[in-house]
Amino acid sequence: MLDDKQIVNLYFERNEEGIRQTSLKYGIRLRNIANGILNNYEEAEECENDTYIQAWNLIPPNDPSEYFFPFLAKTIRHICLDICKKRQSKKRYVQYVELSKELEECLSSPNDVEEYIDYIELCKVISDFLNIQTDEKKFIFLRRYWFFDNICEIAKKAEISESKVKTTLHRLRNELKIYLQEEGYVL
Amino acid sequence: MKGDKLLVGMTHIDNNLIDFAESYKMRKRISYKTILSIAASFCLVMSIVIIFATNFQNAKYEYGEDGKINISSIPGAIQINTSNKVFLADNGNIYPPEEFIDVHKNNGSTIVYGSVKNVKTVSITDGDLIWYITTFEIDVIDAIKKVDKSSTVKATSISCYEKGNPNFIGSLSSNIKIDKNTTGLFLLKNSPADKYEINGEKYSADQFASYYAMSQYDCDGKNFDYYGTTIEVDKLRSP
Repeated sequence: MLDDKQIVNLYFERNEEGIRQTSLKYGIRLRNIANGILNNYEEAEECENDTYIQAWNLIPPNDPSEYFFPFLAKTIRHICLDICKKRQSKKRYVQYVELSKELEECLSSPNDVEEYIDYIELCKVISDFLNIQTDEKKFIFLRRYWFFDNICEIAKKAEISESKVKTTLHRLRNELKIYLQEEGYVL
Repeated sequence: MKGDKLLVGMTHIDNNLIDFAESYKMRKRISYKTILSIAASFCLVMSIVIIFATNFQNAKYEYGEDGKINISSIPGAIQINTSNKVFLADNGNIYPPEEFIDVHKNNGSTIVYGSVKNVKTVSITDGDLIWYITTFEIDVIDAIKKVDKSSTVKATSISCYEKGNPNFIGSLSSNIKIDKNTTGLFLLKNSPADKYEINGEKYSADQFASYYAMSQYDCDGKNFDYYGTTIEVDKLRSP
């Protein structure tokens, strides 16, 4: 199996073998992320293919050889959430709606009108917040709000009780709200 | 801003966090599993080693409560009657009486006056050599020199004969005449750890008893007979 640098080089050479190698190395993990968000395996496969196309279009000029999997993971997450947003009305994406509501607890005024937000900067603040948490807390938060895992799955993966997962998430949301306010994000 | 925008906006968090969340479970599981499997493997290996070692030892020799080899269990050992047999294998010097007293008063030997019991002697034939290994216990009547407060001491002596003649090997010299219930004065030393090969196996005296019997003299408790000279036992006591 090729390493990330070799795979990305294939993209730079416009060699479609790059896509095949990406699929071989990361296909399953990417499908899992998509399936976790969409809860639909066929759509997850479509998102996976869209991810490869997106990667093909973005490399070059981008060179994500040092962070190839996070690059692909972010891409597929973005694609999946686009689908969720578009199809919210069909009420098929319960998880998306549920998590959105949970995260509203982190916001001071969730019903405010649209305002300009620098998402890159906001992500940096959230990353900073997570990086000062314990590994377990960090894991629980990320699995819930980045990978869309349900409580039961997180409890199994972290080998803790479901009630502990719920309590930890509740506390983390409150802490994140305060952290965002302290960083000047009155959202 | 609504929660869904925060949810979507989180997509671009640090790359290391994505890697972390993907590998944390695995690391945790590996950590637990590794520790458990290492511990389990270690226990298993140790159990096998202990069982094997125990069985192997048990299969080869019997051991007494003192942890010493029961000489009857040595391969090829034939138990012989000790009541009529004298194993004379002395190659030690016969000192003039005064010198004998001086030497043994000041050296590291152990001297007890007591009665012998539980005498056991085996012979092992090894080609032209015949080895005699004896173990016995001495009920101490008078601890004359360097004996702890034990009421009984266990000693051994090893003799080797080649074609009927004493073959003095290393530090195994001894001059012991033991009959059942013999009471006498015994010169003992700590059993040497030097190994001697008998029928392809290596043995040392300290595998059979803690003390090695050097000499035995007729004694009535007050005096003992040293090659025809009567010597007071008290003359051997340490100052």
